[in-house]
Amino acid sequence: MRIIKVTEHPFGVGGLWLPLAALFVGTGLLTEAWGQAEVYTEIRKGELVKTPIAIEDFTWRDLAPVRFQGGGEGAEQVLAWDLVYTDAFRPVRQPQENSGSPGLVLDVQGLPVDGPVRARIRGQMRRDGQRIELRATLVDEGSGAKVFERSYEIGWDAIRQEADRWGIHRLADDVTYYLTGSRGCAATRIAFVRAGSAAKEIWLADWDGHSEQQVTRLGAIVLSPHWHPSGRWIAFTSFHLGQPTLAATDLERNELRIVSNSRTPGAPAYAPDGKSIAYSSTDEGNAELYVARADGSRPRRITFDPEIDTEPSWSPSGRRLVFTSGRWGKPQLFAINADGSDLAQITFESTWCGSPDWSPTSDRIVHVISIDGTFELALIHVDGTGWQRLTVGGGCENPRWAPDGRHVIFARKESTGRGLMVIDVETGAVRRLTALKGDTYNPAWSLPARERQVLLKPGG
Amino acid sequence: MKRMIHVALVLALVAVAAGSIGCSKKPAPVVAPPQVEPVRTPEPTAPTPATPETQPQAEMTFQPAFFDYDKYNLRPDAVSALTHNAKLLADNPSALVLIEGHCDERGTREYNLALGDRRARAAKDFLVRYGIEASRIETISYGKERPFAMGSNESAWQQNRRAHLVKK
Repeated sequence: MRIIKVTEHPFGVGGLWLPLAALFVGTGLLTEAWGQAEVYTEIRKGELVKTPIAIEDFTWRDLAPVRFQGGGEGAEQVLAWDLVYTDAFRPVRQPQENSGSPGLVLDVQGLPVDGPVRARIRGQMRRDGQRIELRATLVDEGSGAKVFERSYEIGWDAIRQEADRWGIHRLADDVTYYLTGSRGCAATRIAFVRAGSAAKEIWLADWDGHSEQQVTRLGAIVLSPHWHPSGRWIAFTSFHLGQPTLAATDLERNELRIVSNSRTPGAPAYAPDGKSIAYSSTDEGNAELYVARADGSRPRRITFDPEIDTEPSWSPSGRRLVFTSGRWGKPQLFAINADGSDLAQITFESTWCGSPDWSPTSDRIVHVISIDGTFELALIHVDGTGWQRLTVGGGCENPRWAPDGRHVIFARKESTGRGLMVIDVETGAVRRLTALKGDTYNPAWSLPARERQVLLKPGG
Repeated sequence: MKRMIHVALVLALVAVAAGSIGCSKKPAPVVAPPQVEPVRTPEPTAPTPATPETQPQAEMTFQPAFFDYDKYNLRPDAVSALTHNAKLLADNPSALVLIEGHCDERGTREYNLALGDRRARAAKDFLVRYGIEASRIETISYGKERPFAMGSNESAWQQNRRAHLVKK
C-alpha cells in the first residue's frame, strides 16, 4: 500500500469554496489530480467493493462524551453513518459490542464483514475553551503508518446540549479523499422545497437530513432551487409577487434579489464558473432558453423553436447545456452549446424524458423518464449511448447529482407522501433522508464547503 | 442613370434587410436592475377556491377549458367552454379576466410550468380571436404547483389539466 501524496488538500484552501474544482472537472484536470492520483489503497473510483474500516471509540479529555444533534447519536455513530452513505466503506465499530461469536465482525449495519479491515480511525475529543476539538487520526491497518492527523472543530449548542455534525462530516470527507482519491460529499448542503398547508418554502439540510433550516418565508409557491457554485446564492422561481419571477436568496446577507422579471421564468441553473445563469422564459411567446449574467443582466436567447424548451443543465466545462424540449412532439433531451450552436437530440424513447442533470464528473445525464405511465430515473451519455434505468416503482422527480458524481438526490412520491432519496448510481442502493419530516421535494445538492451554509440573521 | 438605379436597388435591399432585421429583432426581455432588493414579506397568497364554478355571480360563471396530457391544443369541449366565456366577456365589456394555466402531476415540474403557460395562452388567443380585447386578459401559469383535485388517477389529472378563468 502506498500513502497518497497530497500536495493540495481539497479542503485546505483558504476560501470557503473550491470554485477552481468546477473548472477542472470539465478540462479533465480533476481526473488527473484526483481520480488517478496515487491513492492509499487499491480502491479506484467506480469499484464497487466497500472497504472495511474500523472506527475506534473516541477518547474524551476534559469532557464527558457528548450527544449529537438529531437523534442524540454519539460522535462515532455520526461518523459511521457518514461512511455508510459514501457507499465506499463498511465501517466497523471497535471494540465490537454485540458480534455474538468471537470470530464474527459486524459492520455498523449489522452485516458480517469478511475482508480485513484496511484502515482505522482514532479520535480524541477535548475541550478547547468553549469549543470542542476533535483530533482525528487515520491509520493504515497493514503498516501501522499514520495517513493523516487533523483537527476538526465541533460546534456546541450549549442550550440544547448538543454537538453539531458538520466537523464529523468534514472528517468523513477527508477519510474518503485519502482512501479513495475521490472527493466526498458529506460536508455539503441540500436545498429543497417543503410544502406547508398554504405555502411552499425553501429549506436547507445536511446530506444526512439533519441540521435543517428554513431559508425563504415568502408565503408563496416556490420551485426549482439551484445553488450558485460559491454556495452563497440559491436561485429559484417564486410566485411571491403574483406572476412568477426568478429570484435568488443571498444566504450571507439574508436578502432576496430579483434575477429576472421576464415572463414565466423557470428552471434556473448557474453555470459551473458562477458567472452565468441559464433559465427558461416565455417572454417571446413560448418557453425558450436564455443565458444571462449571474445577476440576470444581459439575457441572451439561445433556443429558437415554436415548442417548449426548458430545464437547462450545464456541462462541467460550462460550454454546453442539456435541456428538455417538446420539439420532437414529446418532451425529450437535447444538448446545445451555450451560444446556441450545435444542437443535438439525445433521447428518442418514451412519452416523456425530462429534468436532466449533467454529471459534475462525467458525460452522464441523469433524467426522469416515463415508463409504462410511471416516472423513473435513468442515465444516458450525452452522445445518446449507454441508457441505463436506475429505479423501479415510479414517482421519481427532480434528480440532481451530488458533487461526487456518484450519488443522485431526488424526490419520490410514495404512499406515505413525498420525500427525498439518495441513490448510488453505481450500485442502485437507495436511502431515504428519514430525518426530514413533512412533504419535501425538488432538491438541489451544493458543492462541498468548509463551513456549513446557513442563512444568517440580519446583522448576525 | 444606371448607377442611380444600382444605388436605389442597394438602398432598397438595405431597407428590406433592415426591415427584416427589425422584425426578427427580439424585444429585450424585461430585466430588473441588478441592484439588491430587500426581502419582502407579502401577505400569503391564499389559493383561489378550487371550484369557482359555484360562485354566486351567476352571470359571470366561467367554464374551465380542459386539455389532453402534455397538450395545449383546444379540444372541442374546450372550444365550447371558451366560446361561452367569450360571450360572457362580450356581454360584460368592463370585466377583466385572469387565465390560469394548470397541469396534472405527471411529467417534470419545470416543463409543466411552461406547458401551463401555453395552455393559458391558447385560451387567451381564442378569446382574442373571438373579439375580446387582449388588454382585458392576463395569463399566469401555475404548472403543477396548484392542483384543483388531489389524487393520482385520470379523473383528478383531467381536472388539473385546465385553463382556468378568474374574474379580476
